Order: sequence, then C-alpha cells, then structure tokens
Amino acid sequence: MVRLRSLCVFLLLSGPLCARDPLAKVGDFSLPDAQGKKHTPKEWKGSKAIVLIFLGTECPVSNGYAPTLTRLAERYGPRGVLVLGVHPDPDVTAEVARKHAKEYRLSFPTLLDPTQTLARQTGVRIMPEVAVLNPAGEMLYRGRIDDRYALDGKRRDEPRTHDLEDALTAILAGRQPSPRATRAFGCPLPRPIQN
Amino acid sequence: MHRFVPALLLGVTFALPASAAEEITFTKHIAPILWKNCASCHRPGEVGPFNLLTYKDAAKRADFLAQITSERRMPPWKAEPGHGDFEDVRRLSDAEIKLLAQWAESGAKEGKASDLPPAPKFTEGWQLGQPDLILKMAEPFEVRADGRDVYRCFVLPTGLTEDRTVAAVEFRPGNRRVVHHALYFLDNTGAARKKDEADPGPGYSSFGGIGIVPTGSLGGWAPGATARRLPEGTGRMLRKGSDVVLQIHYHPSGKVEKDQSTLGIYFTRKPAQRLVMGVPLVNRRLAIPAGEKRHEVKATFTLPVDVQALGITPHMHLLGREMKVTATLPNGKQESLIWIKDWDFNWQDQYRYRKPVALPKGTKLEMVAYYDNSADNSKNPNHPPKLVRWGEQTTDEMALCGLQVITAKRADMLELYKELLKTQGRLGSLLSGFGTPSDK
Repeated sequence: MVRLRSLCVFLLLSGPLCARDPLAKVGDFSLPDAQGKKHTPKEWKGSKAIVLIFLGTECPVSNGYAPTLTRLAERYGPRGVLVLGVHPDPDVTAEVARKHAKEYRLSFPTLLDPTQTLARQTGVRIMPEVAVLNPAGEMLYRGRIDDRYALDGKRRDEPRTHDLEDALTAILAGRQPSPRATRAFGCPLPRPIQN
Repeated sequence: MHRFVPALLLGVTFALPASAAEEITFTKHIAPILWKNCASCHRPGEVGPFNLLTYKDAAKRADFLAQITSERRMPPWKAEPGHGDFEDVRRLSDAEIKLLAQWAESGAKEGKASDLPPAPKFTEGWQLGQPDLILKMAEPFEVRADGRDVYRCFVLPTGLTEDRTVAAVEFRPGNRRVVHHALYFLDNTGAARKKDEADPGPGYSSFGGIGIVPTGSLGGWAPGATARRLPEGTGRMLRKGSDVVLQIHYHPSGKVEKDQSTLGIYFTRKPAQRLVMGVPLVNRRLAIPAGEKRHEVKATFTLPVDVQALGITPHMHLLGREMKVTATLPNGKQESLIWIKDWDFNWQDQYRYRKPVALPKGTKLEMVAYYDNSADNSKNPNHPPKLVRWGEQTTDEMALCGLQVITAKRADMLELYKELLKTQGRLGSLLSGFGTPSDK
C-alpha cells in the first residue's frame, strides 16, 4: 500500500498522470457525519448525482473553496444532486468537523472517514478533490472543482473552467461529462498514523 | 528487499547523506530540518496553516512534505543560490530534500526520543523588543470570503514633529490567515490621505503600488521575514509629519475575516549619519506585445559615487517571469546581485545582503526582466492576451528593482540624488527614499 502510494507520488512528480482506474466504483460503506448521523449508499437512491467533496480542514486551498462549494450545493441540491463533504483525516473528529463547517458556513453534511475508505474507493488523492457518482456508485467525474489553481500552485484571480459545474450540467442533461477526469491541485491526503 | 535489486543491476550508486543502512527517522533527521526551516511560520499563532513541530504533525503529511519540498514550492524562497548572499535564506539543500523523500518512502518512522535535538525557542510578541513608535490600523478591515485577492492601503499618521531616522520596522499581522505580505511606504504630501478619504471603508484599494508616488519607503514583510536593525549609524529617513502608507496584500480564506495589523518602529539611538537610499532600476516605457512568451525589458544606471548595497527588491506584476540584476564594476568584474528565475508576485521579498556589497563609483547596474504575455501563462490577467504597458493595475506591468544603498559621505548622497533626478526624473528621485525635506 505504502509502496504503491509512493510510486504514484513518484509518477506524479515525473509528469504523467498516475494511472487511476477511471471507472472506480464505490461499494458499501457506513460513515457518520459531523452531527453523528450515519450515511450509507442506500440514501443515494433517487438522486440524479452524488458529489463527494474531499476536504482538508488545515488546507488553505481547500478552505478557500468553501464559498464556491456552498454555492454549488445550494444551486444543484434542489435539482436532485446530493452533496456530501468527506474528511479523510484521522485527526478530524466530529467536534473539529462541526466547528469547521460552522466557521466556513458549509451547507452540506460532512462525513468522517478516518480510515479513508471513500478515498480508496474513489481514487481521490487531493484535498479538495471531488468524485461525482451515480446512485449505483459508479464514477461519472473525478478531479478538480475548477481551474483556479494551476498544477504548479499558481492561483488565477478568476477560474476559466468550471469543471465540476460542467460535469453536473452534463449529467442533469443526460450526457456523459467530458472530460471524465481532471487533476486537482491542493494538499495530498494525510497518512493515517500507523502506531 | 527486492526493491534494491534494480539499483544494483544498474550499477547505480547514490551519495546518501545518511549511510545506506541507517533508517531515516523523525527524531534524528527530520525534526532538525523542519525546526530550522519551517517551524518559524508553522507553529501556533503564526502564518503557516498547520504546525510542523511534532512527529504527529509531520508524519501525517510525510508525502506532502516530500512533494512540496522537491518542487521547491516550500519553503518559499525565490532567489537563485550563487546570485547574492542573503539573510534569512529559506532554501533547503538537495540533501535535506532527499532526506524528506526517503523518510516518506520508508514509512515516516519516529525514531528514538534520545535522538531529538533541543526544541526550538521562539520569542513571543515583538521580536526586537518594545518599539519606539507603534502604528496600528485605526479600525479592523473586513476581508471578503471569496474572489480576487485584495490590495489595500492604510494611512497611518506618525504624528512626528521632527525628522527621525529609523533603524528597524517590525510588522505584526493582525490576522495571519489572510495577510499575505505588507509593504510600508511614506507620504508627507497628504496625497495618500486624500485617496483614503475618497474611498469608503478603512484605507483604499491599490494593486501595484500605493496609487501615489511615495516620498520614501521603510521596507516590507513577507512570511518568514525577520525584523533586523540596520547597521549602527545607519537609518532610513522618516520626515516629520509623514504618514506611513501600509499596503497589505490579502488572500481571501474561504470565510469573512477581519484584520487589524500593527507596525512597530524602532528609531536609531542617535540620528543616523548614513541614510538608506533607494536606487531604482526602472523602465517605464515597457510595452509587452500580446502573445509574446519571453519579452525582454532592460534598465541601467551608472553609479555616480561609491555605495554599499544593503538589500534589493525586484518588482513586477503577473506577467513577470524572470529578473536578473548585474553590476559591472569599473574594473570590468561582474557581480550578480540577484536572479529570480521563477518570479511569483505572491512571493515578492525584500532581500537583504548578509554583508553590504561594495559598488564603486562608475559601476554600471543592469536589470534584465522577462515577461510571458502568452495565453500559456496561467497568471495572465488578460484573456485573450493584449498589449500591456506600465501601470499600477493588475492588468498593467512594471519593470522595477530597488537597490537599498548607503554612501560613505553625506555629500555623496546628494550627488546620487541629483543623478537620479537627472536620469529618471521626479519618480526616480522620489523612489530614492531620500525623502522630500518637509521644510523645503
């Protein structure tokens, strides 16, 4: 596991996109949100799309997206899109997540995923990065929210592409998002502490 | 074990900083690197978004640390080694970067507690002690949650009734989550006050400069910079009745934030005999064609007197990619004063030389700057690109490098001032920081 991750880091550094299965599928899971409510894929039934947003409470890039994410959730929620935040950090307790959601005015539930089960199943490696699924858990889009940050970390004043929004528009129109995957810039997922 | 076989087959040998058999651990190898280079910002209450003090802080981010240091995005330091010998160099050695990578690769082990060096000590509050004059923003400024970066100028009256010379300035950001960098200019004409009055809310907005021609400068702050006193007998002129115009660059953080930052000013013990002057290398006639990937802009100035350079401040906007300043001494010897190979407006620094650089009379200073006005430049504010000229706006450019110098004699200062006035006009003389005498 560790070796594979390191290999991927190496490949990322050396340029080409580290091969990730673009057709990853999310199977069963049961995770509590910051309020203690349990979430499973059963609740996805009836939604047109599910957006998992991987968040980093200590990542300025991730936090900077909070207003954008809340806007998207408010815009697409009423149109049948279920938006869920995911904390893939073992140090983010329910209390930390509640405080963070309040501070950054997140309008959607945030799941606590200390063992990174959703990150593994979706292949997400960056905070913030999104995985858009259909109710069967099949991946429709994975990657950045928009191109506000270039891959070298340089920040544009205004994004020029709105990848997540374009993907949702396509899905709601019954089309396949294009592209289906992009590379996100931000903070790599933390390692779970071993000992 | 089998992982080592390919390396052996290829006959490759690596020069490892630690012996090949030795395990890379936090306590022995990593803590000293992080404590020396990262912890001054990455500790509680400082500008870093997370701490890098304990094993736990570092281990969970082992891959991140390996990646971000190998790309040299952190620690932030833009000056190329070998081009100017500067204070506070925040640059990891290749060996240190390799250690961080090896540590992540080998499972980010903690190691023996007995290997841990003594914990770093940090001074709380003012680093240089109680300032002689404290200037605080009159009211908190609200930074919006989202959108473009904010460049705001705050006019802070000094209330000084006589000219003083300044040995050091220390900046304390009010809200480290949003304050990205700060520059301190001087104005004794009242022009900045007028701009402030015309703009609702605290201060006024201005991107590239402060919207007026300053009458001097007291330096600036970027994360990781350390306040230091100028050499004994040396100071910056602060004319009576001057206002300090504090320009702060804010990054919206994702939530509405408030900032009320403070400047601490330390006067010289006795009036300084040597005053710091700015020698601007500037080209205001620049015109960067749309689509041009590497457009060159030059500026030169020949020193009319002997000077010692204390520091250097390159300045470009968003199209700027590279800047190099070279001194050609009268004996033909060339000295590189700074080379920024990968300019980033977000990390503009005030670089200070560890030892003053002697530049004799007749030395030719040359600045060469390169601009990328193509659509490939992710920072290009114009989409599609268009012809860009000199100006203060985000969409304008500048080609400016200030050299902070002192002269041996007072008469030389006037000589230098006159030469700047002659060759660069009013702007050059004002940017010199020599200040307009208020009793002129």
